[in-house]
Amino acid sequence: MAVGVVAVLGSLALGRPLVLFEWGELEQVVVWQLRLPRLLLGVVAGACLGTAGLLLQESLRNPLAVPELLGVSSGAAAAVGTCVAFGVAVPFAPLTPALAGAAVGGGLTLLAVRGATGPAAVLLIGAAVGSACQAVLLAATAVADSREQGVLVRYLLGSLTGTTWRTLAPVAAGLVLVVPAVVLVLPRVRVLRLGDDEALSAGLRPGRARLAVLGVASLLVAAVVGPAGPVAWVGFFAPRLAAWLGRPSVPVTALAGAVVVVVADLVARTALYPVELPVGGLTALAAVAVGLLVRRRA
Amino acid sequence: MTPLRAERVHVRFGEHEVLKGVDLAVREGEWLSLLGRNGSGKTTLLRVLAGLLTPSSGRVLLDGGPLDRVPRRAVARRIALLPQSTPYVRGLTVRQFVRQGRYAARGPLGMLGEVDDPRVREALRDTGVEQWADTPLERLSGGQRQRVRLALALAQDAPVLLLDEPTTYLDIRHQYEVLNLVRDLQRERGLTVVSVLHDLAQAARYSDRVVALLDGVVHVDGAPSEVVDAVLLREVYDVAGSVLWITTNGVLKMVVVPD
Repeated sequence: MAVGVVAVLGSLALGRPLVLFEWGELEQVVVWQLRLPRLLLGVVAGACLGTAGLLLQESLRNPLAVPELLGVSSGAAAAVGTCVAFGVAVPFAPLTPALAGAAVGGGLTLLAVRGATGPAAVLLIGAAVGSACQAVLLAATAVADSREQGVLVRYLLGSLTGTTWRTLAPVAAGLVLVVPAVVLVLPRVRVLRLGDDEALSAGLRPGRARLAVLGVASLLVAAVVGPAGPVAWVGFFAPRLAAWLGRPSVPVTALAGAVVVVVADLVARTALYPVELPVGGLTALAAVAVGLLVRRRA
Repeated sequence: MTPLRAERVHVRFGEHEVLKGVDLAVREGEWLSLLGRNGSGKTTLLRVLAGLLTPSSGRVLLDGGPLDRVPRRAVARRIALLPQSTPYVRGLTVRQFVRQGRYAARGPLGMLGEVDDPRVREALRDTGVEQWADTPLERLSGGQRQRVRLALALAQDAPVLLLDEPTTYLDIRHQYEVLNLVRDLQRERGLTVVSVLHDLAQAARYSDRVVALLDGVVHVDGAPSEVVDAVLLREVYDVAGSVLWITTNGVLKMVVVPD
C-alpha cells in the first residue's frame, strides 16, 4: 500500500516540469490534463491485466495461463490495430474490436487445447495463436499510412503516451461491465482450482465455467488494450507478486498490477526524457525480474 | 428406495467397451463396494453414477429421474464424490478448500455462505481436520490431505457419497481411520455410500453389499459373507486361494490366503 502511495505521488510530481513546491497554471494543466488521466489509465490497466491473469491462471490451474500466452492480449491488439490500419469504423471502438479480438484469440487457444491443462500444451498452442495475432498486427502496421504507424506501435508494445480524459471514457464504460462480471465469476474460479472432477462433483461444469472466465478475462484485457495496448506480462507477474506477498486475492493482485504499471510508466516517461519508452517493454523486463525473484524465494 | 440406479449402462472408449450393460440399484443407507480387477470398469461405473461420465448407452436414474436431466447443482446436493486423485492445490487453507463444497448450496452470486457455514465447520470437525483449518494445504501430509478431501465431499451435505479408492496413499492406520470415519458417518447421517476398494478384507469388513465386475458386467452381487469366497477369488481375480472368515471381538473379518 505504501509503495502504491509513493508511486501515485511520484507519478503526479516527477518529470518535466517537476511539480513539488510550485502550483502555477502550467503545473495545474500538466497534472490535471496529462499526468492524472495517464496515472488513472495505468492503475486501471495494471489492475485489469493482473486480475485477468489471476482468473486465467487459477481457472486453468496453470501459472503460464496468462493473457499474453493464451492469445487474448495479442488477439485484442490485432483486432484494434487492424481496425485502425484499415480505417474500419466500429461502434464503441476500441472496446468492441478489442473484446472481439480477445475472445477470438483466447477462444482459439482453448479450443485447440481442448481440456489439456498441462503447462506445455497451453504454452505451445497459446504461443502459436499469439504469434498468428502478432503477424496480423505486423501486417496491418506494414500496410498502414505513416500517420497511423505511431498508433499501431502502441498496439504492438503497449503505451500510456498521450492519455487524456477522453481516452478514459471507454475504459470507464468497460469497468462498469468488468467489475460485476469479476464478482460473478470469482466463485466459479475458486471451485475450478480444486480440479475438474471436484468441480463437477461440487455442482460446477468446468468447461462452461472456463468459457465464462475466459469471457471475463477478455473483457478485462479489452478494456485496457483499446486505450493502452497490450502492456506485457502484467497478467503473469501481478498474481506472482500477490502470492509472494502471501495474499493471492483479486484486490491484492489488482493493486500489485496497478503499482507495477504506474512505476513502469513513470520510468518510461522520465528515464530518457524527452524520449518516452514503451511501458510494455519495461513491464516485460520487470516480469523477468519478478519471475527470477519468486523462483529464488520459492 | 433406490437413490441411484444404473440401467443397461454401456461405456465405450473408442473401440474398447469397458462396461457392457451394467444394471445396478443402490439401496438407500447401504454401503456398497465395487470389486474387480484393475481395468474392470469400477471407476468408470462410479463416474457414470456420479454423472461425471455419460454412458454410451443406457441411463442412470437419480431418485427415479434421469440423472442427465438434473441440473448439476441439484445433482451436487444429492451426490458427493471423492475422486481417485486430486490435482495438487496450492495457496488455499484447509477451510478455504472445504468451503468450495458448498458451491451448490450457495445463491446465484455464490457469495452467500462464504463467511461462516456450519456445514463446513461440521465437515472439518467430523474428519478431524479442524486443527488445520487455517493451515495451507501444501503443508499437510498425504494422509491429512486425504481427510481434507473427504471433508470437501462431506461439506456438500449430500445423502449419497461416492468414494473412489479412498484409502490410496494412506498407511494402514490412516486407512482404517478413514474407513471407520465413513462408517460412523454412514450410520449417524444415514448416508448411502458407494466405494471402489481394492482391499478385499476392507471391502468385506465395511460394506453391507459387494458387487464384483467382470468383463464389463456385474458378475457377483450380495452380502460380503455370502459372496466373498474362493470362487470369487478365482473367477474375478484369477487367484487360487482360500477365504477364511473369523470373528474377533464380535466383528466378522475376512482373510485371503493364496495357495
